[in-house]
Amino acid sequence: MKRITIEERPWWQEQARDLGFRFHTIDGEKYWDESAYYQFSLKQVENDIEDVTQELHELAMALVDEVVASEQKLEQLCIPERHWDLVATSWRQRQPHLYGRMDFSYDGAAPAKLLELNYDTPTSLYESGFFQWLWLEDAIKHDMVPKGSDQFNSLQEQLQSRFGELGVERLHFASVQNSDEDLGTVRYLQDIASQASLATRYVPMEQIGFGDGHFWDREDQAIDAIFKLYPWEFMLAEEFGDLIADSQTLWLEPPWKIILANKGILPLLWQAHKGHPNLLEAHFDDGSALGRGWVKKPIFSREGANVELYLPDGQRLAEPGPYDDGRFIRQALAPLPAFAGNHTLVGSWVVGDVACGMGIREDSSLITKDSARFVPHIISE
Amino acid sequence: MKRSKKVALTLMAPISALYIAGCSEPPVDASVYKSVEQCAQFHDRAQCESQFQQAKQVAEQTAPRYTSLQACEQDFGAGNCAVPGQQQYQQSGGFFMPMMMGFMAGQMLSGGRNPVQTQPLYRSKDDPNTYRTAQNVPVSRGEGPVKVRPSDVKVAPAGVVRRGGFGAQAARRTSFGG
Repeated sequence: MKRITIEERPWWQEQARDLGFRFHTIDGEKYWDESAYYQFSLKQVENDIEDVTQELHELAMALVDEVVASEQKLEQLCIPERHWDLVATSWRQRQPHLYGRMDFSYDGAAPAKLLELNYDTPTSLYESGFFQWLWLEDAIKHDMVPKGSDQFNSLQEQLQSRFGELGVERLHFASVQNSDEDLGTVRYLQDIASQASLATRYVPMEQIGFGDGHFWDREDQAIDAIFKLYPWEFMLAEEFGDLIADSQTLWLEPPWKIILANKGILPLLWQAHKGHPNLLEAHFDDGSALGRGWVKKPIFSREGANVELYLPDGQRLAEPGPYDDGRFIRQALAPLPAFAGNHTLVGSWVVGDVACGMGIREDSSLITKDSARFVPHIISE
Repeated sequence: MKRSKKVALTLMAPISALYIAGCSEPPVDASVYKSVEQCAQFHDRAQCESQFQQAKQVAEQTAPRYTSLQACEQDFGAGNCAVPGQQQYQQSGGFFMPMMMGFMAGQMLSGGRNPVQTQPLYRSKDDPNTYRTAQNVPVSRGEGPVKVRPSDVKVAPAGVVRRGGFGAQAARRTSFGG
């Protein structure tokens, strides 16, 4: 695993604009960054990332069975009691799921360590599945990377075939208003679904209506099935949350994903598989002082918010955020490796139940936040 | 090969937007007024008053409904939403509707044979210069005579749909994707 600096393609901004990639720069800061790429060997990708992702995915899925059968575990994961049935039923009916992303601390040599599962609202999908693919095609064509370079990235192909397997003909897509990034991700999925011959429509999350036992879009079309880029823990706490169980709408991700998107799954995974080389020791937080070499994370949080980190040398790092109102977990620290001063996080994608792609993000801090940059990768010996 | 054999975009990258020519339904005449006073400059005041009342009644049945004032104002602007009449409020479980910003009169112009039903018009926050029907169909950018296709402006009951029951936390917390 190497970080190699390279010339940016002079036309990439124009290409991004033409292809609906509107959030390549966020608040004036570079988000898409092709001034470097990461080079992996095939063995690193297949043995250390792909196989590990596949295995951990299966371990995590097996845990869902145990969680829905245990009131104690549901309570530990802060799932509101009045929604336990909704979550359990969606699992017992095996309501289909679409995708998820695991984040790993990986330096190319030591085993990849699972930091967390993003299994409800993962983003960076468009840049992983589409734009870094285009970058590689261009880079090969213009001799910018070694001949025969490949990429761990069959995301779009897998997504298209997954959409075809869902068993629905019409699918709505929702994201919150005023987020270009979320809209970009959702439009990308909508595009792929439409290529899979589904009829698709978009509705802003805030505009979803309810009446007559159904959810409706803004033109009063019934919502039979919908992909929402909006967290379950929010939905269940909001006004329409109590109506979901009795409606016929099929949600993607399904309600049971609240279990896997929950950082409480990390201590549960550890309890079930103590000493697994790709898992970090983790426990539910008991409120005591954080020891050196440990990280504290909220059960529900996103983009590094409210994460507190205590380095072995005694240095403390903390990110502020709005997720300070719930339970926390603590996890042994696996500091992100540094490449040319950048802390590198490997995001590994699962579509359906297949590990099928990778996206690399870099942050100047050990805590990966929404300020992180997306950097493309190649596979080459 | 560990990457997709091909990737394509069809909706996000519209190289050429498809234009499908309109249907053969002929447009008919109607008029847009912002108030009874404005209407009365051109027509009999009593007739204007009756058209306005008709539009108001239609509004109670067709206006978009929201479960919170905030959600309604997000679409229609601060101060432009209200709880409808108390009786309606009791029946409906309490929803908010945008206020009528004008009305479209159809029947008064052709002795009742006009296929355009008189109805309320609204103006949304993001496009405040355009009058729209309760179904969000743009009708005109100002008051006066307009041509509309009757099927576009057909009055449809709003049913019991309430909106704005999701998204409250997004307003409080800024990041949701991960």
